[in-house]
Amino acid sequence: MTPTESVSRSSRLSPLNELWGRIKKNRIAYAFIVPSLIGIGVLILYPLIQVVLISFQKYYLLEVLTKGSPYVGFENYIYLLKNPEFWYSLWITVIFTVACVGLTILVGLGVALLLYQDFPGKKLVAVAILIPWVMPRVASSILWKWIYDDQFGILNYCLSSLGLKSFATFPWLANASTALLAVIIVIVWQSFPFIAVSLLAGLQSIPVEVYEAAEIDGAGFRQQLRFITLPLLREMIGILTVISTIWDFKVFDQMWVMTEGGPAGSTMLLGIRTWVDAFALLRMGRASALAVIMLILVMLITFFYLKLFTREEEAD
Amino acid sequence: MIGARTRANQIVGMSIRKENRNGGEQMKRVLIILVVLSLALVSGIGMAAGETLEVWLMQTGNPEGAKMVMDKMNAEFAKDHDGATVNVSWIPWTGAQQKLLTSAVAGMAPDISEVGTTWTPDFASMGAIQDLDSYVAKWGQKQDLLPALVESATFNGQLFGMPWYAGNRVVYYRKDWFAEAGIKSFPTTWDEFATVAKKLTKDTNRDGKIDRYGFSVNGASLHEFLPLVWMNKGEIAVKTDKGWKSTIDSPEARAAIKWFADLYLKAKVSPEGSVTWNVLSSRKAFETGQQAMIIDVAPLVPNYLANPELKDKFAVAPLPYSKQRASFIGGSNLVMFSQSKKKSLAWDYLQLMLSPEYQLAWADTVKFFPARLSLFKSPKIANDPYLSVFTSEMKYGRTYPAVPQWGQIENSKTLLIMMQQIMMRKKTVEQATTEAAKAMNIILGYSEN
Repeated sequence: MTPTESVSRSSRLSPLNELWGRIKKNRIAYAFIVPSLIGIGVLILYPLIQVVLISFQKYYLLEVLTKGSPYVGFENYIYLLKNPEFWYSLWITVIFTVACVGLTILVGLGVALLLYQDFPGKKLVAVAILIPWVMPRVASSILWKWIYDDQFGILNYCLSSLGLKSFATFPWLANASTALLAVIIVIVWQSFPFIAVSLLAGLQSIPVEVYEAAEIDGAGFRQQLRFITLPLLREMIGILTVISTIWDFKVFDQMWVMTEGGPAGSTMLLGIRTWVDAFALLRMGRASALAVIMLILVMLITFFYLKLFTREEEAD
Repeated sequence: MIGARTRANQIVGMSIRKENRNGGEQMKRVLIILVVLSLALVSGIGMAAGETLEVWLMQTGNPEGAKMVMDKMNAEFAKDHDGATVNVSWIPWTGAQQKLLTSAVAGMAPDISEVGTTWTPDFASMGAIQDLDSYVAKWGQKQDLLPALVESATFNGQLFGMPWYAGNRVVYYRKDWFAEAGIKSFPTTWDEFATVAKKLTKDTNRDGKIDRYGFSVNGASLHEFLPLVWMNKGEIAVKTDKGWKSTIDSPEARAAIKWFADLYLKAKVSPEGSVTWNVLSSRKAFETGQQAMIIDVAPLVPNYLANPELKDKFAVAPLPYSKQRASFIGGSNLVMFSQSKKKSLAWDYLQLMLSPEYQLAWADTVKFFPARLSLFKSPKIANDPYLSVFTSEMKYGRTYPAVPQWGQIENSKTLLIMMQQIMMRKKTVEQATTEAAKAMNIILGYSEN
C-alpha cells in the first residue's frame, strides 16, 4: 500500500467515518465527555423531546389508559392562544418578571457597590448577604408566608407597633396587588445576593488606575458610576439580566408556597398555570404546550438580549 | 490485634484455597443454584411464602400508632398467608393523587392504596382500579358499609373501592364565651347562627380593633361552604341525559353562597384576611382564643381535651341549617389497582383491613370513624359525648358528585376562586356562580366552552 493510496481512500471516507476517526484519535478526551453527554441526554434532551411530542397530543390523564393519547396537531396551542386566562397569566408573568429582574439588578448593584468600599466588618457582611441565597427556596418562602400572615405575622406586628393601626391585620396575601408585590419582594430577597457577588467580581476586575485617573480629572462618585463603572460592567449586567429573566419567568415554588396562584387566581403565573393544567386538570398535552410556549418565549428574550449586547459591542 | 486479624485472614485464605482445590465441580453447582434462584425471583415463580403486597397509605397525624396497628395486622396476615409480607409505604396527602395517577399510567402502581373518597371515580374511569363487585358479593357485608362512602366509591353502578374510614365536620365552639354573652343554647338555624356570631365578635380590650371573631368564612376551604348548598335544598351538580351538569348557579345554591359570603361582607363576623384562610388558619385562631366557632373534624377532640387551655371551654354541636340538615362525609377508600398481579391476596388483605377489630383499631388511631355502621354502636363511640355528636350528623352525610372529574374541580380551585371573587367584591354572587358553573361544565365534559 503506497501513501497515495491511503490518502485517496481516506478522502473517499464519509463524514461519519471521519468523525469516527476523530473520536478514535481523541478517545480519552471523548471518554471524559461521555458521562456528561449521557447525563444531558437523559435528563434534559429526552424530557425536552417528550414535552414537545406530548404538546401535540391529547394527553388527558383520565383517558390515557383507555383511549391512549392521539396526536391532535396544534389543537393544544390554538386552545391556549384563544384562552383569555392564558393571556392574563402571560401578562401577570411579564409584569412579575420585569419587576423582579429590575429590582434584583438594582439591589444587587447597590450591594455590590457597597461591598466594593472598604469598611470594618466587610467580610462578615459579604458572607451574611449570601444567606437568603443559600436558604432552600421553599423553606424561606414558608418563612415569608409567616412574616406576611395577617393575624400572627411579624410584618403587621411591626407596622402596627409603629402606629400604623390599619395594618394590624392587613391581609397581604389576600389581595391581588399586594400578594404579587409580596412575592416579588421575596424573589428579590432571594436572588440579589448572586447578582451582588457577581457584580462585585466584575467591579474588582476594573483597574484601579481608571478610577484614579478619573478622580484626578475631578469626576465625582456619580460621574464615575455613570462613565466608568456602568459601561465597563455592561456586558456582565447583560448576562445577569438574561439569567435573572430566565429564572424569574419560570417562577413556581415561591408563588406556589405563598399564594397557590390566589387569591381568586390573580397571581396565576405561567409556571403555576402549567402545574394546574398538568396536575389539577390532568391535561398533560395542554400543559406541555404551555411549557413549550414558555421555552420559546424565554429563548426569544435571551436571543433579543444577546443581540442587543453584541450590537452595542460592535458599535463600540 | 493486628496479628489476630492476619491470622484470621490466613485461615480464610486457606479455606478459599482448599475450596479451589476441591475443583470446579462444587463451584459449578453453586452457580447453577444461583442462576435458578435468580430466575425464580425474576419470573415471580417463587413460592407463596415470598409473596409481597405493595400497599400505599396516607401519612396520619399519629404515625407511631398507625404503624403499630399496621404491623400487628401484617403479622396476622403473614401467619394466615404462608408468610406473605406487606410493604406499607406512607405517602403524604399533598400530591398523593398526582403521584397515584402518574404511577398508574406508568404501570408502577401499588397493589392496594388508600385514596381520598372523591378521587375514587377518577381512578375508576381511567381503568386504573379493579371493580370489586364480585369480591364484595362473596363477602356479603356491603349493607354494613356507610352509604355515603359507598356512593363515593361507586362509578357506573359498580363498586370500585372499599370504604375504610369516615370523617365529617361539626361546629366546635367556646362554651365559656357563649355563657359570658348569655347565649343559652347552640343555634340550629342559619339566622340564629349569624346573630350569635355577631354577638361573639368583639373588641375585648377596647383598643378600637376587633380581636375576637365569632366565626371565619374561609375562602380557601371547600368543605365548610359546599354542604350549605345541600342544606338549602340545592345540588352542586346533577346527572342529566347529557352527563353531569353544574347547578352551582341554581337559586338555592346562590342563596346559600350569598348567606355565607354575607357573614364576611355584611355581618363582618370573620377576619378580613379570611379570604385566603383554610381550615388550618381558623383552627389556629380558635386555639389561640381569637375565634369563637369553627367547623372542623373529630381528631381535634382528643387534642383539645389534652389542652389545659381549652379542656373545659369547648363543646361541639351539629351544623346549623336552613331547610334541611346535611354534612359532607369525607374519608378514605381502599382501592385495588388493575395492574396488580396478586389480586386474590390483595382482596384477602382488604378483608382483614375491613374486619371489625382493625376497623375500630384504625378509627381509634386516626381519630376518625369506622366505615361500618354496626361499629357506631360500639360503646367507645356511642357513649362518647363528643363523638356521638359526629355520628348523629353522619345520618345526614353526603358526598360530592361521584364523577371522575371531581378531583379536577377541586384541584383547579374553580369553586374556591368563585368564593374568593365574591368575598373580594370582584364579582357578584350571580356573576361568580355563573362563571363557576360554566367552568365546571367544561371540566365535567357537559359543554365544550
